Amino acid sequence: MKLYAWGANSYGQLGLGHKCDAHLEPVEVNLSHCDLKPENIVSISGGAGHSLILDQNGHVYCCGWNSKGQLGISDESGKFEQIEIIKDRRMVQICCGWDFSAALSDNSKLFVWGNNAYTQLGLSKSITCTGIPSMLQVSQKLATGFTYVSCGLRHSALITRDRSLLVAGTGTKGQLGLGDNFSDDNYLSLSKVPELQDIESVACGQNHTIALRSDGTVYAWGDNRYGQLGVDPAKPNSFVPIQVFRDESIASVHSGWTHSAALTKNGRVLVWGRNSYGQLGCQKKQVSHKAELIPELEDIAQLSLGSEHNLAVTGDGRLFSWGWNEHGSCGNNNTDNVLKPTQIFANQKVKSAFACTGQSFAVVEID
Amino acid sequence: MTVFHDEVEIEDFDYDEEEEIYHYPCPCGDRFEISKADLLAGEEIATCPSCSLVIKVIYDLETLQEEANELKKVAEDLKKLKVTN
Repeated sequence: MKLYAWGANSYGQLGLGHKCDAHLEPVEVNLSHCDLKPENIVSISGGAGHSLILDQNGHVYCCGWNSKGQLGISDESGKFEQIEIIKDRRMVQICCGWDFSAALSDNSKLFVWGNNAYTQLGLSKSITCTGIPSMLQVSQKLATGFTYVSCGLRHSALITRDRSLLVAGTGTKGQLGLGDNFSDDNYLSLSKVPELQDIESVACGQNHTIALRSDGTVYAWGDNRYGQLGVDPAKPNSFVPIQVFRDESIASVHSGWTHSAALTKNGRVLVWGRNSYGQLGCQKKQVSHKAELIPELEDIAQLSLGSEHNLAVTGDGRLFSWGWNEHGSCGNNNTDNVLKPTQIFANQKVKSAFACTGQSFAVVEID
Repeated sequence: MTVFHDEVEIEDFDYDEEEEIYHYPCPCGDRFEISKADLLAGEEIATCPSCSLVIKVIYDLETLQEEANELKKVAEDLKKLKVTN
């Protein structure tokens, strides 16, 4: 198997050993200098200018921009390198925010590093940023451990072991869901979203958050100027969770910057929110707040949303991309926006694919 | 007519005091930027050095000019103080 990368590369976030505006076509990422094997890649996440890879051994590799310590190693790195300081931990999930990073260990501990100017790491306000991955200390009352983490532009959401939701970061647009009778200054760095239980999936966007309850209820809060909450944008934001709709078939929720999506248990994709650059892949309208199926997509096993583009992999290994494409994020050797899901790597079997901010990755089987 | 990717309030920008430039994240991964001098001159469009997207900065020119004048006055007072000392 091989790892391919394409899209924005201003900070070397593709791990190719150089910086450039963009790669419009997938390029193989050379990993021969490190222990990472493409066939062992579990997931990839990326922020503004950095990318993280998690492998089956629970190791995390990083490359790209390190302005706020978001790599977790001491230097900027042009190629993927292992984060040494957490190498004795077995990580099971990773997520990148704009300029910060988080990793969840197999014993439900959360490690965070990068920018904390908005307390998006959940660390004390006195820490503006940290280049050293540190374990998040929380009171037993708030959480006995974590099962999932999602990071947005300047906020984060964490699912706890008892399936409630903790949030950290800025809440100026309502993205924390804690109500509107506060200023950012009043925040504890980590707070529980009241009344949300049985949370199964969560996704943080630019200024909004989407959550899924185990009974199929989709909740959303934060900025709604583009209908990204799934309600009419005549209501421009919500500071508390709104019950948007309920659909028992939904398996997970996903978020771009200003568009949102859900993947159903039978492999269909629902989308809503902003569509100015074809993010929704199915309509002509600029904004569509009602969840709608993308007709072309069936048997989707894996869905991944970047800031304004998307990738979906079918059960039999076909990869589709759509959305904003100025930096070639859709990987079709073009810069025109892709308005409908379009297959790339047409003659190859794709194991998994990951849409990051403007960069994209795919693990591809090579005969 | 310019099509804005977004309209963003000045409070949401990060300010680089050394460079005197305001920054806001662009979805391409780079940052929209506009200098304080441009804002004071009434410019309201922040551009991204890496892509074609532009955003409109929502700010109050008078408030910004007053702040700038106050800062200037403080700096002048400090200078005078140094001279007298």
